[in-house]
Amino acid sequence: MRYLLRADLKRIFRMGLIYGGLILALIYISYTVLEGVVNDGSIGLINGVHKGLSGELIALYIVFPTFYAVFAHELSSKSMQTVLGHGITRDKLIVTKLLDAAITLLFMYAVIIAVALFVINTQSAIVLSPQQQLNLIIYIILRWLRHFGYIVFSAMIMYISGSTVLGIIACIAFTVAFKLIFNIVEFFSSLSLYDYTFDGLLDWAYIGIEVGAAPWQLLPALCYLLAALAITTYFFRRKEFDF
Amino acid sequence: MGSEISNAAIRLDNIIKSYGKHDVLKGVTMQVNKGDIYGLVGKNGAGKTTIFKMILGLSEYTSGNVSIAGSKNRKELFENRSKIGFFVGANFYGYLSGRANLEYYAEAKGLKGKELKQEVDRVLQIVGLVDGKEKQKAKGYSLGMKQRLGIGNAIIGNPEILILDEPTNGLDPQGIADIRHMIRRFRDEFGMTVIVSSHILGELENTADRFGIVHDGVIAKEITQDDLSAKRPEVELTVSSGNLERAKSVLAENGIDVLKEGKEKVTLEDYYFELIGGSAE
Repeated sequence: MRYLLRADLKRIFRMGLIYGGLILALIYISYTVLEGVVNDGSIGLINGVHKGLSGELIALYIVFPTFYAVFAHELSSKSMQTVLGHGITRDKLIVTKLLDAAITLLFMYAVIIAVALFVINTQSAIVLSPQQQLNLIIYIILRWLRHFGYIVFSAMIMYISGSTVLGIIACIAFTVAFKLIFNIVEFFSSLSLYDYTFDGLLDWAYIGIEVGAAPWQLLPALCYLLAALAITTYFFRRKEFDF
Repeated sequence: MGSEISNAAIRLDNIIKSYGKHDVLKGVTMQVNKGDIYGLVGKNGAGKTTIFKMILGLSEYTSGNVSIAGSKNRKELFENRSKIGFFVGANFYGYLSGRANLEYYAEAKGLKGKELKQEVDRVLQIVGLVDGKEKQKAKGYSLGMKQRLGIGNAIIGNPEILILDEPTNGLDPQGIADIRHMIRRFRDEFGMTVIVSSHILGELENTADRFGIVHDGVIAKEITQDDLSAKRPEVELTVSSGNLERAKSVLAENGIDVLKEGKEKVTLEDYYFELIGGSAE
């Protein structure tokens, strides 16, 4: 499994889309951070990072390239068949692919954080308190988890349907339209369903951390991920592969 | 029987595969011995590809048993699948170069560093993706080059068993001849056991040692090259046109009957290679 993971990561990082997405993400975050700093100093910087990482655009720049790089060619290249035929179990294959996505996403976040820290420490006079720095790091980790969740849910749809296109559409829908759809539902029905979604739970978890409460909402959020993984492996174990 | 099984590279016992009430495989029993080139022949839809899927674990069989390299249980079956290399059409990443594709599969099989580079170079030589072709993106390859890359992906790491599903599909005569030559080389030079399928019977006739004729979800008959020869008790004697009458009189003098007399035709393949160069061997 680790050999496949290593080979996969090398393959993924040979895809230009990852770097294109990363550059766009950096430009967008630079803009939001700069805008925040100019208006409100250190608070503005934090707000700028929040705004940058929480927008649909950043999700599109980071999540979509990651999903595409990891999964888009899996069915067309028949690499899944090849790997399974070599004796890798189906469960291990799914876990490897999700680890690919988690690591690729982590890489993109690491670059964004590194650039942000470099700019804050060398190019501006803004000093963040240790608590502010900690909250910022937690916020970024939760964003990473949220974006990883989008990929897990999209991969579930791709593996069950056997359609890469459906997976990609799901990925874009999760990143761009998820909250919007629930806002519309809430607007027309006054039902706050969003609070019980993966997204909503992560929002509440962060609010809890900010006010010093235990982020228990992380547990049901993780259950969403585990449920998606369980559903994916359930269907994937029974999947018939064509040549 | 015991030594027969111990010599088996792949053994299928009464494999049944059903989709609902429809049986695609109705009890396939076959054995491919180590060092064989085994031809799986049959018309489209006969069940050849389904047999491969059962062997590779890409589809679960309804009942029966598959054994690979002597595996005795499911765990060993999974482990021994790592001894198989297989080609099932264009199995590569189009956005990567030919070399990068081979590197991917070599790395996934646990090769690294100098060993990986040497193996990739070796396979590129074998499948003939050299002189800069290996650096091109695979999606830009011709069909023949794609087939070669697919076969390269299959043989990387020198597997004990090689499965080739319709490897000559869509190829020109030279491409078909090259693949036939490669198949023999895989066995003779690298010691692989090869199972190759085709719906074009003539394609495998001179390549495989044994044949399984798949028909209606079963192996209808297994035959060997010797069986093919035995089916023809008469012997063909080829003489040049100028010597025909003399040969006939010599045979007659010795009491040998000539059962059939005819002019041997040049095959289209011979004609083709005479015209454009190259050879079927």
